[in-house]
Amino acid sequence: MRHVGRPLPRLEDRAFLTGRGRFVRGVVPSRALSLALVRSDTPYGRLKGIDASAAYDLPGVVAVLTHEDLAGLAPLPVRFLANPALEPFLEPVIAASHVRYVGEPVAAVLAESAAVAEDGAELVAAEIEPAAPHLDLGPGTVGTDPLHGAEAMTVRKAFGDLNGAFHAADRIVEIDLDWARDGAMPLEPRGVVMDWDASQGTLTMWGAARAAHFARAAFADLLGLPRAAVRFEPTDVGGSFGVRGELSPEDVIAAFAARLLERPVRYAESRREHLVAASQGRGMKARARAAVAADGTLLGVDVGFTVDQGAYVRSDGLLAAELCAAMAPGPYRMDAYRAAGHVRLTNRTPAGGLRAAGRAEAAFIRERLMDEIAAVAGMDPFELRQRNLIEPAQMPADRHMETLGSHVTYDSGRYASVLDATVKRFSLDVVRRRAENRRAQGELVGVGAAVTVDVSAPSKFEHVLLSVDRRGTVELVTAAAEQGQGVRTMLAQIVADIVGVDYANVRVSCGDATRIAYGSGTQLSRSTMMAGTATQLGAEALRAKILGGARAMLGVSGERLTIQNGRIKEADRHFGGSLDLGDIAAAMEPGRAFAPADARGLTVDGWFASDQMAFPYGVTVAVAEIDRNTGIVRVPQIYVGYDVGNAINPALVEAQIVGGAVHGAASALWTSLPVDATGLPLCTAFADYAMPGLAEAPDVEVLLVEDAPAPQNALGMKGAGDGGITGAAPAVAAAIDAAIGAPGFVKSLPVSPAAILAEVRARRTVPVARIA
Amino acid sequence: MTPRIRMTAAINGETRTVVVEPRTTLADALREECGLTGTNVGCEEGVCGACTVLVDGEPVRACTMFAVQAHGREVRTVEGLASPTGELGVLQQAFQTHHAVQCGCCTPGFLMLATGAIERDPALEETDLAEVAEANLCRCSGYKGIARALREAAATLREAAR
Repeated sequence: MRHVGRPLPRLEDRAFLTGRGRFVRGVVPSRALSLALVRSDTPYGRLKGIDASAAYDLPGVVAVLTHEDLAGLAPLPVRFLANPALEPFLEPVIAASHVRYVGEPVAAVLAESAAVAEDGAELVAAEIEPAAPHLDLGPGTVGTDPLHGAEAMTVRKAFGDLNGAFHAADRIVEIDLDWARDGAMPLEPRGVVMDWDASQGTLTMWGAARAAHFARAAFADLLGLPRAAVRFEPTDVGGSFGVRGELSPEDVIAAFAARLLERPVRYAESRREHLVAASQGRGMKARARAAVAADGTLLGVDVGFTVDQGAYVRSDGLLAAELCAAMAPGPYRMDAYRAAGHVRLTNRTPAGGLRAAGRAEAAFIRERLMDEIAAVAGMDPFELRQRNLIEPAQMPADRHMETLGSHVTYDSGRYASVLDATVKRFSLDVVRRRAENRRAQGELVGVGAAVTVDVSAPSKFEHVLLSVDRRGTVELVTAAAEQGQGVRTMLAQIVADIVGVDYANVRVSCGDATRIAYGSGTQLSRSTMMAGTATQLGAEALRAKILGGARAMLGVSGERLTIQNGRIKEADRHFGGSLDLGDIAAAMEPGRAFAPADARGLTVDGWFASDQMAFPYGVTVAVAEIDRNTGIVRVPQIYVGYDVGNAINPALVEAQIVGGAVHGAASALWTSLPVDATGLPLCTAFADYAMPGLAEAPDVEVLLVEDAPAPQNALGMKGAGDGGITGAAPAVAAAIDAAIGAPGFVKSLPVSPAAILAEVRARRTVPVARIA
Repeated sequence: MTPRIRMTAAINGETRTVVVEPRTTLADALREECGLTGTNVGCEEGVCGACTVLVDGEPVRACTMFAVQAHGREVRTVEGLASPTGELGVLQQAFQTHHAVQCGCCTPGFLMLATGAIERDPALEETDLAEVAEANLCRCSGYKGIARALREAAATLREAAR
């Protein structure tokens, strides 16, 4: 049976369908203490003192830790693009002199149960002298606190002669945009379990494996341990979307407490905490200008934006600003480009990973700009885009920029053809005409489009281990983290085809940061591409080794042997000798008769190194229907055409795209994490966060094309994780504009029904009679 | 010291007696006292529905029900859905076939919610089941796989009920 390219059922499902998933809350070592945090309820102020005496009086409270206890710990390090210039802005493990956001940890209570720990936390009195918070994106007032309203860094990228482009332009188009704070908001809040084994001096950590190697190294540094003394046990993860598994203050406090108290420590974040303490994203303002020729040809683009970084720079560093600046040019030709991204500290929850970090912002800026150009030039927005797309003959397309340690060169792509295919597949001409007809009848219906290029980051390398046991089960060990995307299944599919076994017979150990020495995380749609290629190379080596053993055992030449369903036999013979994979594995064990030359039994390594990024791309088309009386938007349909080069499991790729598109549409229409004028969060319960349910979620239809495989890896894979989310918000924005006949109306996300209603009313044609 | 109460419930057909605080939620009692960690907790305020279980056949948010309220009642959780020999039920099978599971956090809640609805009315139309499923949240899937799975399961079960 062939596996790659088929929508096979996932190997992960059974555990979840039967309630056997092992999420971090279900990890309960004996004698475990529960950790609850006392958090700042003030956006900004001086921390004058903490009185924990009442908490200590509560039976079951074991310890209350504050800055005094944790003072020796360094601030949390940066994972992406670490830079000494960022050090002043890093987050302390626990507040010392100031609190800088609502939700910042000020004390930690450890108790015999979660309930007692929470009771104890309520009894800790933190004396905070409030001061005026910095909440806007302008510079702060210079005071004694160097973090107050500071610009942590400016990200700059540029190529070509921008002045020349603007001088040569027939038209200059400018837009101002903003996007509110939003969150990854996985269904399972964060959590961690730490255990300290004093006999070996070993810290064991259970949790999300997204950045497990970074976490191991960071804990080794923070606690002064050799890396080998930090063990990582990955758990099931209830959604990530960028926020799970990044090193957090809670993780460090739990580890410190476990070592101090010599007892396991559990931390399970509440949803309320998640809404104020987990990293948020978007939160940016932008001004973009385009230099355009009379025929609509894009000559140059100039983008300035400011990111609301919140109180500190977290382990994600400046990822969003960096990728927004690098990816704003998108799929279009241009001679000149300049981006300046200002990263501003405010007294809000620190910003960090959020699905399609930077790319979603870039797409919103660029695609709104394209719509504005179309409106100003009186062109069809589809045609304007088509006119400016990079052509296949221009691939690989050097964008003359660097990001995340790699050069930005679009590896391959047939942009116009994915547009054509998507229009044909979903009869989008008919969809647009139908919307026009309904508008002519007085309904508010519109169609909008966005074209996107995404980046699959290589992050340099990936390493896997493969082996076969006496039962003929193939084991694959990888650092790639399973967090709901089904990477376990996809890697098993790759192994299955190459080795010649059923994929259910491939046991994949994901997020294994203890057995795999080096890893660079699961982010930016890299795992199937990078771990998948390491797996492919490893599986080929394993196959060669199996056939070598079989050849010796059967006394035949290797070329004639095949492996099918875990049995090895001569290809052209229906009868005669055949061997079971398990028997070969047994015979090849070290010290046994058919041990291979390397004496390591049926085990191999797979290594893949590359610093060449892959650039998946596609088009998103949204339909918006607006209720004239309420301004409420319904998005019945989103169509996505997307090229991931090679869809290892098309159903799982589609699932990523559908889920992402709904997330993106939600962020454009419903979800945000606002604060009031004094900086207090307004969204502190899940009921305040308008995540769509089955009724509100658009129906997303996906066309996968495989026109442009990635040249960087043999299977031609490109990442799929952000294919749905990146274009969803600008497509929805354009559809709303079209529905109410107001080009350039949506400048601010999420767009509120009140704003739409006001615009609709302002535009209502007043009957002539009434004017008279 | 907080008072503690002994309570007994039939959990997945087995009589269980646990000692809990009056404030202990059913979700916490199932997870921490009974070891039934399949009932996931997403918000602890009754919004997401990840913790949905059946109490006397009715879908209930286990995070907003006190454990003691389940005293003397019949509680069913996701762990009790498969047959004793481990075969997946129609709904579970449909979730796998239609790729309705991603991270798996919301899955038990959707399964119990739909099970409750279908048992109440085995002739439930697909659209009615989709309406019931609006009660719960999923962040991964965009609901496409879940909707497909529910449609197929409803059709299969309706056919079987005839």
